[in-house]
Amino acid sequence: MEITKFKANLPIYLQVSDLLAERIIRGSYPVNSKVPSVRELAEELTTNPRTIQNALKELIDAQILITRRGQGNFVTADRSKIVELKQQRVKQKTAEYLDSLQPFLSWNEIITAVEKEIAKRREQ
Amino acid sequence: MGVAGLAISLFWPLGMLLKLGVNRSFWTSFAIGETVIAFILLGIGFICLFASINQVWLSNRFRLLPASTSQLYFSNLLMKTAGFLLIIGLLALIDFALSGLILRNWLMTPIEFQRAISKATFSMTDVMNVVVSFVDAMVSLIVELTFLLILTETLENFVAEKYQRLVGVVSFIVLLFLFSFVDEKISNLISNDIVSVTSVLFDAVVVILCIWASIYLLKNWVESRK
Amino acid sequence: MSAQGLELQHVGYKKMTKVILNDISVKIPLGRLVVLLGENGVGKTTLMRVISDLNKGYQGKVCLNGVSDERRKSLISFSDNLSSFRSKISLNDVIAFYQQGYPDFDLQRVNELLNFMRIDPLQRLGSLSKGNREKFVIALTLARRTRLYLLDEPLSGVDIFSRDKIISSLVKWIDNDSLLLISTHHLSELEQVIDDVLILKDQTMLEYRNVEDIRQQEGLSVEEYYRQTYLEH
Repeated sequence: MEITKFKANLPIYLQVSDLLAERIIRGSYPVNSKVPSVRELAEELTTNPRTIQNALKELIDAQILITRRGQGNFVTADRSKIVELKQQRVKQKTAEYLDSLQPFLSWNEIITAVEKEIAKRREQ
Repeated sequence: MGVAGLAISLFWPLGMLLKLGVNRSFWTSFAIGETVIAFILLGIGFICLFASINQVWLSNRFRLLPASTSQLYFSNLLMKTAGFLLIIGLLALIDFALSGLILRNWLMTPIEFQRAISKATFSMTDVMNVVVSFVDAMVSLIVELTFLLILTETLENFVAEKYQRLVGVVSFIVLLFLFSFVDEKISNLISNDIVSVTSVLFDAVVVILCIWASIYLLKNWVESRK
Repeated sequence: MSAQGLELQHVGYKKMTKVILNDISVKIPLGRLVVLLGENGVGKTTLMRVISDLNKGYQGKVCLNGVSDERRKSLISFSDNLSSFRSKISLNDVIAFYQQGYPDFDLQRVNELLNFMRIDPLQRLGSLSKGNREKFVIALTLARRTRLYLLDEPLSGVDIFSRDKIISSLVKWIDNDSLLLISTHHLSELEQVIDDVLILKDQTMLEYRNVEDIRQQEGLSVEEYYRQTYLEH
């Protein structure tokens, strides 16, 4: 059995909602489908049900998930929301990446490094 | 334990048989021996009874049960006493009966035995007296000794851990002495008869007080061991 | 329903003249998984024994779902170390004792738990290793359907693989109507499943706090935070 380990110094509900958002973007939870229940997710990710609830609440507030009374939570049918989510992700991750390199690399050095790495991976 | 007791009371005479051969002195010692064994078994049985009653107050296993302290107290005393009567009572009865049987068949002539029996007159009141005083003695003994043991456990809480055992033993002996001394003095003051309504009533009051105090101490002072 | 949960009001406990617990007041609502922290001898076990009415003569008030007298025992499942059972007794007989003694004991649940921990109930209690004995205690404690579960150092002898398995299953066994208080020295393994921490120091309560708050507001893991607050005070 694999235990999902989260970073211990960041709120776990944010990490869980990130993880769920990634699954939605990747299509593991397709558009209009039901996401697993709180209990199922808590067991799968080895976290507290309350943490899962808070994570789901984040996604519900962002209208990525829609709650259907008595049925559970569903991924939104509105694809534009998911595109928006993806773009947000890209922005956030890129910003994090640049923040980590900027102190000692110039923009051009970063671009060259990225291009080189992508070319290398394409060959493989 | 019951089996062991039965074995002792039946096989002990066999040893005697081998040693002495079957004659009058064998039967005499057999009869006396069975009576003695009956008393020894009763004594050992009582010690075990009180040890096992006391153990219940000190174990998490029983103190955690979702029962009130009075429920725990009464069920413990009743169950343990019933078990005790069943095993030890039965054994003692067998042993006494055996010695009686021997007395009748081998040591006395049937006429002697009949004469001995007929000398004792049994009236209804006599039987009642015996039953009442037996129940009185039994209940008093169990309730009062249990109370003294609980009181001892309570007192042990007030001394450092390494002295607890010593203080426990000493205070139990002192308490036992004090209690029986006072009890007897008051009892004598109230009535001179061994079996009378007043003395039974007095015993009943003492028993009720002991039960109340025991439950109070258990509820508020006596802790289970870690 | 304001009385739902565990409430301690100025709880203290003395042994002769030695203070073991001093003036602890806290309110913990139902549905929480709470870790009790503190160094050895700080009174974690004593606190649990006071809550479950095994320790007598404590000061203050312990109130569980509005019940503060000895009747609260029926709402509490405390992990007894089973030391008062004979070592020759079989696990099935211990289970039978629990089943007779506790009306809320769930036989199916204990079997599920034992099966999951791979413990054969035909064994004798005395033949269990330290780790397996602890697992058996956990199974017995969690098999009751009650309000408050008290697990005192349940995982100290359990190997890391089983520990992970048990921790992830804790989530499964606790629902919104119950409360689990667990004392441990293996905090890091429990970090992502717990709701709150209750820290004891110098015979009293240093803090009762939500773990997500700690991460969010302090940017620290619970373990780091525990170390920091413990040394500061």
